Amino acid sequence: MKFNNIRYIVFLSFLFITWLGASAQKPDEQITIDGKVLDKNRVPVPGVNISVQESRKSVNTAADGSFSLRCSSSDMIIFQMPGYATLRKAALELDSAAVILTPTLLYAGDKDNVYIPFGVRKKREVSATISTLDGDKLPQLPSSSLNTVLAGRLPGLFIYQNGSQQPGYDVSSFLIRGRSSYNNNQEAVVLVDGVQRAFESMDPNEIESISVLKDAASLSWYGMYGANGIVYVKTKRGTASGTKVTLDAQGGIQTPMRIVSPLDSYTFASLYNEAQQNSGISPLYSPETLQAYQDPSSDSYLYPNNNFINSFTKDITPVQRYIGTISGGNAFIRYYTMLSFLNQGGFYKGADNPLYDANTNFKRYNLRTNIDLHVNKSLDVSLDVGGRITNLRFPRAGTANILDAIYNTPANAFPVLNRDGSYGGTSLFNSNDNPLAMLQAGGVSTDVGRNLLATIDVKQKLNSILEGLSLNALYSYDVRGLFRYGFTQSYELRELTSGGTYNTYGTAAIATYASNEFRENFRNNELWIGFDYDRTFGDHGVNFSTRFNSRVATTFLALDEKRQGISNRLTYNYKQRYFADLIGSYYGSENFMPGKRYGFFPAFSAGWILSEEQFLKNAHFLDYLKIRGSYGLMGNDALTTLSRRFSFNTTWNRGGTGYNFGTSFAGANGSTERTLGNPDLTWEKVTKASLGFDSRLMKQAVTLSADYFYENRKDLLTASLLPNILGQSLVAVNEGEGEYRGFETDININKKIGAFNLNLFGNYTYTKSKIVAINESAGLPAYQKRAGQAISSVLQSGSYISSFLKADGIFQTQEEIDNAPVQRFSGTVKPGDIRYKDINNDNVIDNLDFVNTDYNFVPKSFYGFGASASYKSFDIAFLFQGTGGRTISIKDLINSGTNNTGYINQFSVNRWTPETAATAEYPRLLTADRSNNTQNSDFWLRSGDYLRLKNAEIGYSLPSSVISKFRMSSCRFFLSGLNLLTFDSLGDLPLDPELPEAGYVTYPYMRTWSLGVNVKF
Amino acid sequence: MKTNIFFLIAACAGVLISSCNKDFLQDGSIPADGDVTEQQFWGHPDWSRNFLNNIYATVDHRYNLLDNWSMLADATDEAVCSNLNSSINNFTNGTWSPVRTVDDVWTDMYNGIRKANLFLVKAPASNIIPLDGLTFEQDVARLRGEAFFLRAYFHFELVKRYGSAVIATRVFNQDENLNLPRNTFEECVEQIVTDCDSAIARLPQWTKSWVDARKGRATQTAAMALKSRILLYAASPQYNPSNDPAKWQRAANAAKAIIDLNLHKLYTSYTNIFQWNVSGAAYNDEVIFASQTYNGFDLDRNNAPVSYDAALGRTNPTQDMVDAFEMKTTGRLITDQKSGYNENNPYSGRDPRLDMSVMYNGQTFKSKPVETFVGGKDGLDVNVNATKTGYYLRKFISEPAVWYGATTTSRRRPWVIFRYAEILLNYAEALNEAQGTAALAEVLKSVNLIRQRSGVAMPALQTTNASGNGYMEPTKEAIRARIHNERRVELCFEEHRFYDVRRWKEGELYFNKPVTGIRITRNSDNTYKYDRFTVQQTRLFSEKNYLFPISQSELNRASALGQNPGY
Repeated sequence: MKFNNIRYIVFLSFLFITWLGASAQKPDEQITIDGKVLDKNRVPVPGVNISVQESRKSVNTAADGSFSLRCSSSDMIIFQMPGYATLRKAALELDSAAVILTPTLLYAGDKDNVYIPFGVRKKREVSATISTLDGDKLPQLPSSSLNTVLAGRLPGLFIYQNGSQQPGYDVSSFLIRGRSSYNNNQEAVVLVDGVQRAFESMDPNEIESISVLKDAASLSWYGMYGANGIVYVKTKRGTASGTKVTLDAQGGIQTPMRIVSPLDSYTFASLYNEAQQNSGISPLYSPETLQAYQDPSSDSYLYPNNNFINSFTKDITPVQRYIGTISGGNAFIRYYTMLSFLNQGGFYKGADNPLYDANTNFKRYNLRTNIDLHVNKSLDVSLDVGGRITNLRFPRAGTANILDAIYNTPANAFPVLNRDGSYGGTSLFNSNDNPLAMLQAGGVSTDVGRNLLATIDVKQKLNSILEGLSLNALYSYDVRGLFRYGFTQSYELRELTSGGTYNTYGTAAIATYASNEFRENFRNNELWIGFDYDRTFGDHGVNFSTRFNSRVATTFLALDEKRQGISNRLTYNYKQRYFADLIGSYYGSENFMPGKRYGFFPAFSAGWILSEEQFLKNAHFLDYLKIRGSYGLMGNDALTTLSRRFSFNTTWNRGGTGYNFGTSFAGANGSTERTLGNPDLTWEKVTKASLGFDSRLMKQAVTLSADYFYENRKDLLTASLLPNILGQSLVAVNEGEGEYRGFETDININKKIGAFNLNLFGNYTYTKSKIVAINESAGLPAYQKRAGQAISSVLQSGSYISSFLKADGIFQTQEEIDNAPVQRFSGTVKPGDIRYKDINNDNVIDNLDFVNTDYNFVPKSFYGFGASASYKSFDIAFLFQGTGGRTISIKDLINSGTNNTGYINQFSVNRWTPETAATAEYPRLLTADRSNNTQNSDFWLRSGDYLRLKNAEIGYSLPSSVISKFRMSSCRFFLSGLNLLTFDSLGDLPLDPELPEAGYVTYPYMRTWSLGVNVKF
Repeated sequence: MKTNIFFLIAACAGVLISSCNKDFLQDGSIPADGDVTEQQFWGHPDWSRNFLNNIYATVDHRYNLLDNWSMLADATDEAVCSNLNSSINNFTNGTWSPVRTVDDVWTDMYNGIRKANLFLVKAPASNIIPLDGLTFEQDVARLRGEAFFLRAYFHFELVKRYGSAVIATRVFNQDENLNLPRNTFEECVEQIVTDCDSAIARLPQWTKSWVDARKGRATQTAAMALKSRILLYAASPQYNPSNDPAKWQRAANAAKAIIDLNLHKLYTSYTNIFQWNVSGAAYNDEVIFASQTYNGFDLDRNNAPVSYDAALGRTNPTQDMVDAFEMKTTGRLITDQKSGYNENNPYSGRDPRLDMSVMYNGQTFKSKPVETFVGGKDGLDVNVNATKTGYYLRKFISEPAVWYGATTTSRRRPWVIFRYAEILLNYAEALNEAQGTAALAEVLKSVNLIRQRSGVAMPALQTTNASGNGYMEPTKEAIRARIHNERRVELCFEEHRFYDVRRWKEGELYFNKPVTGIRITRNSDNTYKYDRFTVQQTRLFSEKNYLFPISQSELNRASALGQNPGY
């Protein structure tokens, strides 16, 4: 701790000194600059155009390369000459210095920057595999999560929605390339401006670029925490220009894509009767009741026929987004500021009362100010402040409970309102099942989240010590807080009894303020400090970076989490044609025993631009070809399956389960031994290899890249299978191993024909995984073992399942059952039940007939393709995204419901009956002894492959003749949509292939349409 | 100037980088989440004492055995679970197997045994501060006595299910060979008896020997009761195929030892044995050892008839169970011609324990009549949770418990593991088997104590007056039958039937057939018609079902255990 404090004090005094240096400037003084422009061999370059940024003032260099120009001390001076890279320099720093121009090479231009961890390279120099997407290419959509608009755009990056899509959540996960761990710990790390931060709730307008770091050459820098891949986001910064203002306004609608539809009372009741009869129970609904359900004139209080979906959900919900940005600067100060507002409505109907509206609503305010100070010739300071405030309102009963009531309450359960105006309910659906009462009288909650992200970044050139050396320090301070407030209210449900009186359930209470609830408080500090050395010696370019890194994350009820390490990178290039990188980092993790917690993670990569070699110079179709490869080691200390921190120790719990003794039954405290620790616990050792090429063909119209990759992960956690007579379980051991291999490819075609601009793009990734080692019981039959199989599982009820029975259709006759092996999952098996295959040929179907399969919710392949085109004032763009080799389970959908609803739902119509035996899709209905038909089996598995028009946008820009009258520099109107079209093989199932739980368990997946205008001044 | 700044910066950077020391990371010496180290743990007087409390937590109530508050009684001819999907049915529907286990306590019990063994080893070296005026040695001895009892009890829980187990009398180490074969049944019995004796030597005599704050802890009589039960099991046909009378005599002696202490007695109210909110009922003299009290209303909500505030009517006693209750006046079974049973008024004049154990049509509960007739508010098929037999559970259920509305009311009920009535029955049964009619007087004395408990007052059993009340033939077999029936009635729904039928080797007789219920139809003149019916539920029992299967996943870890025959 002591060292820690000293470090911050030292860091602060360092900042103070740099500010002292900065105070020496005098801005906006008229000066004359003289100088000489030379090429890299120090030969004068005549005819170079030298201009002051954003002014018409310009001069050309004389024959001896000299020039003289009058300007202000805060101006930025631009040197332009065909064949040479454009150079920008602050006027003050040009004073009598020689200006060196370097010749332009392909992929070394102004727009070819690639951001690598704590460095920037030209595209040609990079030998790692990094895919980058410009922030400008993100579709303009009013979406609460950026993840939804990123899917399908980058090779090797798979984004899958895996949780609630309710406004403000939009839960999704990143997977980079593939899975080599059968434990669920392969979530990629997201870094925003080099620091670990949440990304999905940023506004697209904050983002300069999103890069995906995929191979050893880029990830070894992060030692123990980058092994799952990194999504590296850079925020926008100002340029030395006049003030630029942009305004955006978007308004749109969202519509649920697929959602269950309810059964009417008659159908429900008759199917329920059938299910009871099949279970040997006499039917609940009498013929008279059934008749009454069918007769529209019968008393709707006694024979209700609700459609909860129609009554309580909206078909259309509104969404809006407004963004304003201001940016600009001069040679010494540059700034970018942004403020945005998103407002997304919820899809509940009838949720307002005079006091509050309980319908879900999400409001988000994002702000960002990035300031760059060029203090003097050798000192640069950046100060970035980002923040967001989120306001998420939702019914206090909770989204899950309300959706359950809306989706799963039978149409005849109760009248929503009784004749006397009270809320209806029954003894079966009593606790929280009247959606109207829940929405209207159940209270409301609002989660207010506040997020502040601040970074200071200082770079001091140390040319006086060593030419090309600089010192860089970055310190971040992020805080996050969340609290909940709102109203609590409760209500009474009433049920009319046969005697004419009401049974009541619950007690009505008026709304009162809910007590404030702190739910989250979090602080994260990161420090990165170290040296860069960047210099060219003739044909030899050398770049070396080293950084010391430490991180402290603090939250309540926990010891601070800390991390530290040193990252180093050496880059060498020869003739800007041969490139090599050596990366080595040394990192430690708190998850392991002291003395066993630091590791060294080296990597090597190399690139070679073949197209610039003599033997390819004449290949005219080929403008550019680079081959590159990398190999290296990384670690992963995020062992999410560990039950507790510091599991290398066996610890003792002071507060275990207690027991009540004595005549006052006072709870006596308990205390106990924790799961036995594993002192040998270590990080996962991840080896990644990648080999690929980048190319540009056909007069630079086509760019094509491809990579083959392989990853092996050793020391995966796996259970230690000791006999239970030990009496205690053990922390998992590092005895597993997994791997994946595959390839990814990326193509981009640009064509300009007159005023017509066309861009086509596509990417494709294929992976194949394998479990090399995992601890499994010795007695397990071969077909139930996971070792040797793909790392795969199907998501069902929130758990991952890979073991299934093999279904063999549905039993049609008793004779067929008599001749088949005995199925031991339910008491009785009758025609209409699912028939399973006898895998081990013991003539009994039981748990020994489950087979480990490679059905997987993660696709074998994923891809995206699309186009953008513009013609004069019109532009259009679209993106398709798809997956291949993916499996989803419909078991929970088809069997949705409870004991109280008899598991009758819209799919029950397609059940097996003797009459419909030939066409039945699902087994017979049962209210009791259902286990034979609810086993995990491939009967319920469906292809989860899909191709989706993820988004499309059409725009029109006003001609400059019009906008100049309004002092605008551009004005564009556009119509944009998300999730517009889906192709899949699910037939009539009302289920989204991308997110199978949406619309029957969770909030539905939404299609979004939005109309917007973007104005630039 | 510039150079100076540089040196300063370089010096700062030097400090920063050299501070990449290993102290920065948490070293784990302060365990996260408020845990402590082993040394701190056993050095602390409270934590080491509390460790024993945590061992007790392995002993829990059995009201909510499997999903939906089903009880083990549902897996016998005592009752049916109204949730027909409950996994309690796996016991009886023929699907019970090593890959489909129910109530598999193998792991839980060994977890408890490990804790007991840890405590036995660690307590003498701990810093426990003695209580109740004892010296450190005396208090540690007493605490260890509790651990001995618990270890014995956990072993018994294993043996009664699996037939035998690996005896664990020390803390196993993760590095040693744990693939051990099971000890024989006899070795297990002797170990349990030995541990009981160790406990008896160290523990206070009975519940009332503990100060109020410590009532509920193990006692000598608890250990003696456990010894009585395990020896009774060991003498029973399941484990004593040669019917060695010495084993019966040993069991009888173990039961007699408790009776001779003359401490425990039958409680005045049969109902309130279990209702500890009732004044005077808590730790009543009949209860020898019980789990900590369950304090709640879910037990009532899950078992009350369905019309009572959305109750779920889970455990439904069978007609077979109801038939086992004798006639109050004659002390004869209803099958007896002379019993006075009227099948058109079947609930009148019955053993008072019927009222206290079973809710039947017309009985008053919470000031309302229970209506289990067809079409009644609690009747068959009225909703999915309605009774499947025509009856609901009454025993354990509390009338004052409130589970609905803004103010709920919890009621306290222990799960009684050993009570004095069982000891009397154990004694009667063992003595009859060991000595037959020679010990008739002693046997009758024991059984009749139970029959004549206050509030029950059934006619005493007798063998002398053939036409009198409570008559049975003076043969060992006839006496056995009545003792068995008395046990069935007195201890109904308390998890005895499941094991008693097994140890009597009568599984095929009672458990291999469907159970029955009663369909009551109300006539127009408000009288009722009673029709027995067979509950549509598979009930299978075969030879292998006498013992639980060892789960396949456990066998995969430890093949030396060996599977029980037939599985």
